[in-house]
Amino acid sequence: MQPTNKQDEFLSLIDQHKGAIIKVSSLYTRRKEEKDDLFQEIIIQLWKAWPNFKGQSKVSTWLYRIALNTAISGLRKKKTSVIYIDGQDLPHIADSDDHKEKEEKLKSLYDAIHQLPEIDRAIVLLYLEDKSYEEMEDILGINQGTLRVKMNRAKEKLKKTIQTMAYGA
Amino acid sequence: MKTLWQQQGNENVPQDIQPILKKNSNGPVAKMKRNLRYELWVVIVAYGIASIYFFVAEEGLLSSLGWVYVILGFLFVYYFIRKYRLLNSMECMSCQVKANLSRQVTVLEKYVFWYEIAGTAIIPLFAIYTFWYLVPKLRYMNGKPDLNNNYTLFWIVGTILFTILFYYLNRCYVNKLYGKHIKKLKLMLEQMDDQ
Repeated sequence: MQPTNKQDEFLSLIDQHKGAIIKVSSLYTRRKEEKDDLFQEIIIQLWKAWPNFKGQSKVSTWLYRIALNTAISGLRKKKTSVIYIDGQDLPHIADSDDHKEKEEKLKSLYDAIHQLPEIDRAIVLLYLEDKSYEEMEDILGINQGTLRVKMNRAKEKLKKTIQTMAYGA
Repeated sequence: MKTLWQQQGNENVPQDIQPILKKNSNGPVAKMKRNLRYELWVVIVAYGIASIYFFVAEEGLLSSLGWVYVILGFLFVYYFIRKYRLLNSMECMSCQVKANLSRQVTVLEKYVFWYEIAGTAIIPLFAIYTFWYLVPKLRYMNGKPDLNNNYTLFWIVGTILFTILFYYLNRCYVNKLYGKHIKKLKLMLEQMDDQ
């Protein structure tokens, strides 16, 4: 059934893209309360910007811009130590024979991404979401050459961090 | 990495989005706008009461002071409108991330500049108002003679010293409010350009 008004349209859009919003919230916060707050703030900003969205860009591009702008430019207290994320606060992997092992790996991945600077986190997120470098440039405003260099560096850092965490465990 | 990432589900999503749409933003710019509105109301009420007092006190002999407060009140309202407009232009959430960050830095630095100017200018304006207008008027009403040159020198030197002191105090205060955030935004912009 077609949405009957603007709010229904918006809610339908959020339903399609809530996974992306959850991932942004998880990557830029450390605790469940902060994650819920950031999730709400992103929804509020999307709702404010919705009347002005006339299809000038792809919906996903528009949505990621707002979500990342909200997450990155919000005032937050500076972290003083590395806090590892509680696995219960992360999105879960669908049940399968090895889902426990995959969830552990996913937790390690989130922990490692959390140790990157905010801009690198955004680049890694968009890479993992299978965005092309062209789309990433459109969302972030960083040219593709710089994005490729930064992504390669981020991959190296992530590998080292995950290995360190695995040996340290 | 990508395969693992894309296998994530959405079970932890809050189910009811609709109530969120009725809430106010808790973002930094929204908070600054709310604080500014509270400050504006405090100024309107305080200056309004002061003006009314001076208009009615001493059977209207101090009404000129009442007008001074009315004018100062309008100047404050203009100052608040300028700041509010700056806040409105500070964010462009649907712009590219780099463009939004650049805009925030530029506008926040202008905002801080106006804050510092207003906080510093208030001292010499207050000194001029007190020494050149209020004190002679009150002395005249009480039948006292005009102030001599030693007092004039005292007021000028005192005004200069207090202006300098308040300039640095104001800068420390504004830096405490916004300095860290501006530095953080600039650092992120550097990260974007850094290869």
